[in-house]
Amino acid sequence: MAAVRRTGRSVVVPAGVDAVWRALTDPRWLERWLAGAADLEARAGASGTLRDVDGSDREVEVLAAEPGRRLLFAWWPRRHGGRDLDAGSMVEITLGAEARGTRVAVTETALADQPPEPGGRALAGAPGAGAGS
Amino acid sequence: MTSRQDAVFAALADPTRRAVVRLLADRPATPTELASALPVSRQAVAKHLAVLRAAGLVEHAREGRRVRYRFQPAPLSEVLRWMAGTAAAWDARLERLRGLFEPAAD
Repeated sequence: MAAVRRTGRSVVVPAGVDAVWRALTDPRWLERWLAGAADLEARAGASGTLRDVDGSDREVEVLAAEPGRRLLFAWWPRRHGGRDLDAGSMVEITLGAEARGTRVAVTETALADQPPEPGGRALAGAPGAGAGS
Repeated sequence: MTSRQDAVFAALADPTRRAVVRLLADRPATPTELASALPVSRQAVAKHLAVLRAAGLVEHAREGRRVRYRFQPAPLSEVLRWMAGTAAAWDARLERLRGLFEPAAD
């Protein structure tokens, strides 16, 4: 498909890349900006849950975690005890050192619009997805 | 809902279909009228209209022997809602993240 639902946002955080990476991957830090509650290990193949600040739950699968550089995960709202597959999306967060700190760039793409590609294919709840690297 | 959104994006990915939508957004038109305003045949216009109908972006009404199409913007606002919603959510999250590293203002 030639067009997808995709949102891109970025911000410069006044801190070094390592400190920002910790805020992206340590659940106690995640709970201070990404979610109200986080049970998530930032390791490729890990799955966990996030409770959004509005109280809704999301299931998360980490697809790639390159320390200090890139975090890639997919998430789905939880509905009726399972994943709302239609509403899932892929989130990529990249870090880049800048003079004033670290640029944090986020891209969120609706999974339904995602072109099939390695790493994106086994997503929709396949139990073997943990074997990713 | 999501497959409908996919259909909306696929429909609007084509420049001729975008031109059709622009014309119909101005005023309802028949396929013949659309073809005379565009550098494509009436048959091609009919195919594009079928794709736009499947996406819910146009609706048609029969007037005697003619069929007049009109633009239907509702599916588009659904897609825009997704984009606006995710953008606003990330703006808020990134602002909280940045705030964690701001020098304490106490």
